[in-house]
Amino acid sequence: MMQLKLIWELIKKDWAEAFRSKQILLSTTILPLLLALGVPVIFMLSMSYAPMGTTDIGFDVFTDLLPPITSDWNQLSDKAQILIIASIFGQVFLLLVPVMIASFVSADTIVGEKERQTIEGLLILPVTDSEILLAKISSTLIPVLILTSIMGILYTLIVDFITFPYLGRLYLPNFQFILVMALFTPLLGFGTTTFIVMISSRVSSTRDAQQLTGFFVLPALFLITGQLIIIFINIWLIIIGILILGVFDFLTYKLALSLFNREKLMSQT
Amino acid sequence: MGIAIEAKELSKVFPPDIIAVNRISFAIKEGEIFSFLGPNGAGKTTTVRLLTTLLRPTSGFATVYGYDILKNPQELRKNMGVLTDRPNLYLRLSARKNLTFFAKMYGLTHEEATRRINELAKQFDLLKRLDSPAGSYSKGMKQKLGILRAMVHSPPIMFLDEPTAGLDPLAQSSVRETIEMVAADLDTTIFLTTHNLPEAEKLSTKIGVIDKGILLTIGSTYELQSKVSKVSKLVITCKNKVSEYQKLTSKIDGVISTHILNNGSSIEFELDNMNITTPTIVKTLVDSGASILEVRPVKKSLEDVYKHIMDSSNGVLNHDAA
Repeated sequence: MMQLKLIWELIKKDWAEAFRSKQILLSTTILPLLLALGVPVIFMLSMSYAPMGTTDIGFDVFTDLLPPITSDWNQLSDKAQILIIASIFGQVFLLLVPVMIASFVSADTIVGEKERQTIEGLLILPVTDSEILLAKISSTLIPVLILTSIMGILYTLIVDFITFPYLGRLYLPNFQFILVMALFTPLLGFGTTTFIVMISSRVSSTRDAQQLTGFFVLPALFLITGQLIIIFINIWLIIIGILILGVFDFLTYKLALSLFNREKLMSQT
Repeated sequence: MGIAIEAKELSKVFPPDIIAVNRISFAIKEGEIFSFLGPNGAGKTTTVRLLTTLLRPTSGFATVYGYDILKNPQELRKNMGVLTDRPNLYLRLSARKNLTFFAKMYGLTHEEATRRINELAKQFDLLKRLDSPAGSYSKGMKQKLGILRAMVHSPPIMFLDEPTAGLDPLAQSSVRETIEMVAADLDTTIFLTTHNLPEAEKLSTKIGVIDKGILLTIGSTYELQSKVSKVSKLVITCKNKVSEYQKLTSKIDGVISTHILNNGSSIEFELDNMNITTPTIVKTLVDSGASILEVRPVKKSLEDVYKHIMDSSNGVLNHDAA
């Protein structure tokens, strides 16, 4: 049976340490804030001011290719349609937040204990491998999800502020967006964090962990980013994505647990 | 007193074929302070890591306070305190936060942890610096804090792996005093590895010597002294006529050799058997009218014993290796 109280103590310890580092605080707030809110907002604002249908290849060519995204899709103006598509594009950026922060922070979680010579102190505590692993994943994932949720709320307000004049109603939050924020994002965050924590438990320095993370996670993410825009248009595709992520997370966690080797961790100290 | 630690044929081989610990067997009683001596790379730290569940043995088994290191690692971890050659502290956190974290991980409530930490800090003179970051502590203070970390949950057994290594003499003395206080106050079993022989001699009730993974000998200091040499030394100080008494006693059965020490009033005897020969020498001197000021057996220092064990083991181990 999991000792939840001890996992919580480990998480609190990690937070207490991390929040004393300005470097970690900056990397976990400023960059994701710029990425998740700044880029989509600039994009949407530029779309809202862009002239529509003034050229031979206007935005209508693009919107006509897409299936209806809302029930009143065909009644919407080209501008409203393009703003909705831009908002979906922004949701993908929002999704990058947990992945970006996890890449910065989780890479250090276990190998950092080795580097700071605290790994023996951690391993002699009365906790199991899975409890250590869960604590390390959660200490990154919980603040990341809180931050992502706050950004989700801010994003909703901004999108509605920009789209309301064209739609005459609030566009966000809708069912797709809630599904993405409540399930898709946490599952993607869990999978990514688990994968990076697993890397962190197998390498000998934080730099190695960050390089490997950069090598595996970021290219994979940029590859699927394009697909996500299509997935987020259709609710069934979102549900299938959630199921696939669930299986991926389970397998990644099992793999991370099987690769968590106390002797290997000790051998490099 | 029950058995605190029992190891049977315990071995650890690191890939490809480095034998760090080679079938060692020993038992340590509850309440004992056991010093594990040996040169660098002898297998001391690996033994500690095996007994503290940080490593898994390749073969053999061990129990610590009745808990099998392989079958009950969790229970064992709850009941031991470990200090390695590094204090394992979170340097960004204050000493208090460090101790509170470890106390809670060992199941103490917040109130219990606070009470225990204040008590320890007061006892070990850390109260004033308790809220400073551990990173601002000197090396000696960090090590001292590391010992408090290891004992914050009052474990019945503590493993201290070279606790004074790399410290200056003052810091060493401070850490040594801390260990003495731990031993005196808690009735705790202590497994100590060290290079510092006077430290081991001062603190230990039992000593083991390991080299190249092989346990060479184990016993109390007295037992080790007896093991390494059958010859005992005795010094008798007389008021006068020292050379006359030397001649008289040198012919007694069991006396191997005698010589007068530099102070001119003491005779040093090398004896076959201290217990049998000493009374005969004293009786002979008293019968001949000697005024005896002092009778003092000369203890072999642990350093002499250690050197002797290592010298004789080198031959054996090198021979085995060949």
